[in-house]
Amino acid sequence: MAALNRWFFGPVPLARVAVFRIAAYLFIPLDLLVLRPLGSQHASATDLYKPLIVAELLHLPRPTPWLIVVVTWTLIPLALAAAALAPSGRWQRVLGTAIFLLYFEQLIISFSFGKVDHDRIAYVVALAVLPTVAGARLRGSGSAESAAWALRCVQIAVVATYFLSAFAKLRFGGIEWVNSATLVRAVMRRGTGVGRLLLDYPWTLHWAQWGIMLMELSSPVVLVLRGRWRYAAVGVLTAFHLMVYATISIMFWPHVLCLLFAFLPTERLVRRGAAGAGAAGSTAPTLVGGQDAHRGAAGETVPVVGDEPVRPVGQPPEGRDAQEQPQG
Amino acid sequence: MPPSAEPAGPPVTRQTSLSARAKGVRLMAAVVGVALLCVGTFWGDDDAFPFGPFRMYSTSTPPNGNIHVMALEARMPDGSWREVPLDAPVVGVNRAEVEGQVPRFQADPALVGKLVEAHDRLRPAEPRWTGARLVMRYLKLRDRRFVGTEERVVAQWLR
Repeated sequence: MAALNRWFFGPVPLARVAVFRIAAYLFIPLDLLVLRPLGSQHASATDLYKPLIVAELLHLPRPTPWLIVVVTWTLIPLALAAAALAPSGRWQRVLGTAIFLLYFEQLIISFSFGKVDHDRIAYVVALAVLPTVAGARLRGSGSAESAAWALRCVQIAVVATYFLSAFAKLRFGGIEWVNSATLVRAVMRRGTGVGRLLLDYPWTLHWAQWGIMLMELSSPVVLVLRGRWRYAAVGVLTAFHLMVYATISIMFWPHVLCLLFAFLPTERLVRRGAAGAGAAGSTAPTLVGGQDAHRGAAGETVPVVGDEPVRPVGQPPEGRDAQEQPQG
Repeated sequence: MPPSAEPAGPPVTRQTSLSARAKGVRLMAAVVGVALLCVGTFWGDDDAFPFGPFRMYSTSTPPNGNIHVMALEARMPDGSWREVPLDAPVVGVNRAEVEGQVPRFQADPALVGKLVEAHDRLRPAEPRWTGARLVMRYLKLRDRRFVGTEERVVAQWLR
């Protein structure tokens, strides 16, 4: 129980949440206007509406062009305001909650035309949990248990997207999925020039299916990796998404955003040069959720190679986690 | 001593804790969320979003089977048929969405007319289509290699 408590709630820097908020909220206008402007296009085809279960459970109104426009154009200014205010931490709970509800409604509408995208769950979870963290400021030095829980939830959602998709493959495609021609299908349906080159070497796509299945089944390991192993895992997953994009032009944009901002110690981006003079020498800031990342078996602090923040010699890290203090 | 002077000790780090009740509520929320996702993965389908299965490219295409690709053909004002993009900026919905509703189009071909009407609204400067048909293409594979195509009209609508 203590281990679970530490895993879920071991404090992480609040600045990490502030950075995440800026990225998450700036993504909304990009998503609605550039990456996936489906809402405005669906407004021309509302006859093809096919409601999701959640829309019926919540008695959500049948989308009309007017409703789609109102939701979209309320979301964009709210998201821009939330991103602008995120560094100061002001109005984040109110704005964040409103954004979550509106974006969720926007997705429900968007997915009610016969196709559901599977790259949004972690992002929806992020929008849901980010408003639960109070007092997160970009230049603040504090850490909080609430921040740890919020980032853990996003991490779990990121990993679930891989892990549970392996079971969806076993359920819908059967165990023969790994030996099927599913990736040939993906490339033939929407392959890029690079992807189509692989059609001449179908064994590459065949083995890639085994690789994907193995990667997805082993993805929960990321939740307990520490130090440079975690960076490596995030790097491998990011490379996987880039490869998918290069070959079949599908990019899990919001998912990759969550992968990077929930797993990496992004507060270092803003701490560089921000730390004032102070006592020298200490451990590096923690990894996201890896709150005891540098602690040895006996609880003493141990340095992790490759995990040092970039900062001038003698400059102390600002706001390192309480759990990073030597314990004994 | 002015505030900017070097402090004597290590920097003070503020740490905010949660009450046991707040932790319990958060833990429960996480457990319920994960449980619903698991239920959706094994028993739900896409309409169970946000708890549906992550089923992108989850079906198996036999190495000697067919790949299905939906296409849209439109009848131009001069009566000729031409393949047009089955994409949201052109007809309001994209290919995957139409493929997700094939039985609906088969049962009610008039829905193809809604694509034509969406095209009228989205592309007013282009010639108005006088009809459209959804065509399912079967790209045939032999040993994972493409060997030929067959087509079948799924639904047709004429103005």
